[in-house]
Amino acid sequence: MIGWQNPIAFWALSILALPIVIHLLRRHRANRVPFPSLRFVRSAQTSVARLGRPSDLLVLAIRVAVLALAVSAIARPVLLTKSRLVGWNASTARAVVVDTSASMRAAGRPDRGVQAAEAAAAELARATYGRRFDVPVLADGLARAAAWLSSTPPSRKEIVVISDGQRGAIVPSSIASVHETIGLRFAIVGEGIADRTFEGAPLLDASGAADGTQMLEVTADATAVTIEKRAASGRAGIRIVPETEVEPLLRIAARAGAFAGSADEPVTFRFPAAEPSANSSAVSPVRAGWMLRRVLRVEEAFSSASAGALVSQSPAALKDRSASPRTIVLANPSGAPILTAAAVGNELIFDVGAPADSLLAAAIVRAVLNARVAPADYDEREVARITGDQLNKWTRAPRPADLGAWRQADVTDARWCWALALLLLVVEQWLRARSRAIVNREVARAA
Amino acid sequence: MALPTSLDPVVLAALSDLELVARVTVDGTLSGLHGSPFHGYSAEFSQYRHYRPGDDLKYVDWKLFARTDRFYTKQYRETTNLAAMLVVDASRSMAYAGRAGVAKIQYAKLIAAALAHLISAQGDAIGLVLHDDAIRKYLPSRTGQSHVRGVLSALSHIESRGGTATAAVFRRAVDLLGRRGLLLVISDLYDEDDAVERELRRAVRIGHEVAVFHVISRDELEFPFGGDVELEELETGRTMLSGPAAAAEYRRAFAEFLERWRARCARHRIDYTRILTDQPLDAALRGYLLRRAGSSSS
Repeated sequence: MIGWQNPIAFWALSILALPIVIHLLRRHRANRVPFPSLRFVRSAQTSVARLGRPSDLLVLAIRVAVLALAVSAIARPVLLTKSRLVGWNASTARAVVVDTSASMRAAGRPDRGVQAAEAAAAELARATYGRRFDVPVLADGLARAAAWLSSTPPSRKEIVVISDGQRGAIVPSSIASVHETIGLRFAIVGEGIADRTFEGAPLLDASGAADGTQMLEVTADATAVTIEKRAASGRAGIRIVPETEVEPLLRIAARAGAFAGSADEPVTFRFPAAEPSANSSAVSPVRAGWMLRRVLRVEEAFSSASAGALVSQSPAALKDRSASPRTIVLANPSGAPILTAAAVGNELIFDVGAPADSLLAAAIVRAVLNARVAPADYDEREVARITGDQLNKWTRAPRPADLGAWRQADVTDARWCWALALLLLVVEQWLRARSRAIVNREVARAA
Repeated sequence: MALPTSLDPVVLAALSDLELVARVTVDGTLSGLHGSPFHGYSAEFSQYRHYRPGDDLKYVDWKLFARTDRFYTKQYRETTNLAAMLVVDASRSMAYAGRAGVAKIQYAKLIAAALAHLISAQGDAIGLVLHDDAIRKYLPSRTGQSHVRGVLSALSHIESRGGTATAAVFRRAVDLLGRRGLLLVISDLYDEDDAVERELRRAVRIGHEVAVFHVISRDELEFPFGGDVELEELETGRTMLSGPAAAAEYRRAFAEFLERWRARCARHRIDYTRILTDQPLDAALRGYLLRRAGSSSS
């Protein structure tokens, strides 16, 4: 079987008519020449008739063949043989797609970027034809790699994806867009999420005690939160003044879902009906770390949920603690404080400006309690990876080069056409020389 | 004067003085020849002389040897000159020059002039028949310088035209010669071969010596046309489209034509000289004269 890489060159076959036309036109350009006698020219034939003569036909055929071979050479023929196929299949064209997304750039030990570079270098070193594609979006990288492989010389073609395997980075549609003859491999670098379960904060019950604990199960698929019930341990770390308001407020907070108090971080809620503190001089600004974190979280919770009814304090207001030891956390639109915070020893005191039986008061209590624990936060180096099973499904070996691979062959058989054309030219010259020699012999014999 | 080693026909043809051309040619041609190539047919006994080794034994007088016991060789004196007749073809086909640059008629004139000068210089008679399809000029065979000049003048003024009727003209020329003599036919022989051969044979049977100078150009030999050409026959104006493809067949046919004439002449003991118009004139003539000198001495 033979293929032609540049078949458009065959349009040039029209020049084959050139020598034929020249042969025919020479008849019409006949000059009138005087000659002594035509008695020996009686069998002379014209060009049209001469085409049928073997000697002329041979020379004409050779000239046409030379032109045809030249055109064929320009058309870049590729002869498909078994040995050539074996040679093609012994070579590998490898496109290495390196993931440069944000997760790959995250610091870690070992560094994913370094790992990827080492892996890419190793893959390219083992390839006959290789090219590296650094892409932040693997789908784009796959498309570019496939496009490049379609233009490489015949060989086994393969794409190697070097990535941390983050979920969503590779989607089935990207895989499907890669031609099925191209092999696919995945080299995963860095670490994924380690499955683990850890204990969260204790949960508040209606009496103000802790009767259960959050259990957080972290996997690559999801984070599951379960409640592990346990015996109530008694109310600790929560004080509400006046005491009469304790039960309804804690019941509401528990029903809405709130963390239990902690003896290490005691919190007191004071309502307008409460008597002033006996030792008001002991009140001091909020300075302890846990107190500041809690105050800030409360403010954040209301700033995102109050919808304008309440105004959280600006950072400038928070800084204005030198004037008063109390920190205004919330205020109404007219500027009247609704919630202020202060420290009394190791205790964080919240003065609530809303009536104890109001829904706002319950919301404040719940917000303060929930501000105890920071939202779950994970190491950014941990990525949820595509599962190994999925990667295995996508992984495939490159297929051998088929007969259609000649289109990309970098070495063609045009040189054989040129050589044959040259040989035919030599033959044509030899025929002409022989013809001249015959003439000379005839002349010599006649003379 | 130092003569050129070969006489270029182009140069000679350019000379208008045919007598000069003839003299230069003959002087150059005869240098090196020992004695005349022409002998008369009628000889008269002159004297005896003592036999010398090398003398032809047929001239030894055996009766005198019987009487005197000595060898004497008889010597004769030519009393009658050789009568030669130039029969020159001036038909239209002789106008062909080709690449040689010298028309066949021009070359024929040079040969005829040289032969006329040579024969006349030996005191022999020379005549001329110029013809195409009929005799256009006839000068009877005579001796003398003035006659030769007339022959050369007639030759120099002749132009090729018309067709060819060599056979009929030759028959007439033989009759005009009258006595046994030498007929020198200069032609391209484009005529009916059998008829011409018949007349040549007749002349030989009558007792004439006949020499044929077959004048051809190299183009007629080689048929050198690279492309298609429309050939126009000079004598008839007939045209024919031809080309390189016909060359091989033409050359073969023409070679056969030449060989056929050579064989015919050899068969009838006619001297046949093929002359190409691009060969030196002295070389063309020398071959004939050497053969003739050889045949005369034998």
